[in-house]
Amino acid sequence: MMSKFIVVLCGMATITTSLGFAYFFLSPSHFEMMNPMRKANAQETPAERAQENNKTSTVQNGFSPISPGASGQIPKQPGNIVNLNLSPQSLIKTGSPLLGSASAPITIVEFGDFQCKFCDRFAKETEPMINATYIQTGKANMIFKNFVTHGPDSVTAGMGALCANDQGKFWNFYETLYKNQGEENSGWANANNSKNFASSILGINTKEFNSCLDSNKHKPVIDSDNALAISSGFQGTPTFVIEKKDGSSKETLLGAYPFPSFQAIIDKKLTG
Amino acid sequence: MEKAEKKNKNETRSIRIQSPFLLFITGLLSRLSFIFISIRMVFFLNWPYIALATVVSSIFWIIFSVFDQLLFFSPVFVFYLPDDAVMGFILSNITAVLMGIVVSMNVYVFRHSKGLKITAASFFSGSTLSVLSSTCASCSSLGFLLVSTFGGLGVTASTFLSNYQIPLRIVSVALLIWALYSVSNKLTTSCRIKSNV
Repeated sequence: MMSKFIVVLCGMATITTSLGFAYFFLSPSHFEMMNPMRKANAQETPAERAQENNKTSTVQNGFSPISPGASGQIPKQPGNIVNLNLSPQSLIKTGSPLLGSASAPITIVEFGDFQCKFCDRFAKETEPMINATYIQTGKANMIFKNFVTHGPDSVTAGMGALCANDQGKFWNFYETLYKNQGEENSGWANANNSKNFASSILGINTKEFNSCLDSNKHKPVIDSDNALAISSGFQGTPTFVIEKKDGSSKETLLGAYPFPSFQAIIDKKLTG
Repeated sequence: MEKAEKKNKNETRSIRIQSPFLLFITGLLSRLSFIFISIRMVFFLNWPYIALATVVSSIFWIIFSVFDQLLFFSPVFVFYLPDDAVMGFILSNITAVLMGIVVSMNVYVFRHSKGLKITAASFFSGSTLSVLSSTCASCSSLGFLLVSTFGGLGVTASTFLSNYQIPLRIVSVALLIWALYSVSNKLTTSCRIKSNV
């Protein structure tokens, strides 16, 4: 009798602990707790934010997702100012790929990597539902930012996507890349394959695309996107920031959340 | 007469050819029966062990589902199973059930058999490998931490874990079956009749 009681008690304790762990691990509040810097940034003045940004870049010197293994730094090129502002209007102004109406009341900013399996899951399972329910109806729009953490192929794929964006074909390229996603860093998204993917998209100027990709024109943009993600405290892909048109009421999701999760947040923001 | 001898020879040959295969099959069946006997011995109307196995399996099922991004608690409680996750989900279910059984049986051995050691090596290697492979290091928070902490090595590790997720899970299931076999072996050793006696 006693042993039964102990086993049941232990079981209940472990279930409660694991549920607590899972809740803590997944909830956006965990994200805030793990990134106190990000929370502080929300209340800072632009000058303080810029100062903090410099500090962040120094702290992150050991990280180099673009050239892994090298003693990389987030490059600060002239004219490539790291933009810490995640508000939709400023992201649209800087030419970030946009899906839907620019004047939609809600914006979803996706920080993704074209090699990430969970980003692929989001693109195939959740994004079409969000698109049909909120983007096509003008209730929300979506902005994509690169957060390359998976190795060299991610950089090429990201640059290719931005080259496609120059011709207004970003979302076609996005779809094509996820449709053809291969094993990580196996060369599936190298320059040659990216050019082949681009040539399969109707209406794209392949000559222009190829020269854009070969010239590494968008490398600074990739670096800037990465710096933005890191300085915002994001730790993985896909990360979503769901916010109102004016940049207020931000909520962050880390992971390939299903449609009901997005629905709950967007509906709350639309009614609130 | 000659025909009869020839027939006999053919039969003998066929038995000789079949014998290693038959031996393997009978051996496998006997081992399986020992596993079933030991499972019955531990779990038949033995509610604390059934409860323990259920709890352990549930915990690991939750952990695997959370790491595989199938189970979400916030902002709304959701479980969903996309097409790309079906194979991994089946394997993680098998792993969770095996873990529950192996843990309960080890506890049974520990409590009832003096002098017998629990099969820690196979159990821990199986469970660690399955947890590791289910995290898909490159895509979760761990992936970014690996990359930012270990640089090139982190990329290699996360790429390996991500690309070989399914084979690693199959290996972890195999290790847990080995753990189950070892523990059932210990429980049924005293019941066996040695063939050379």
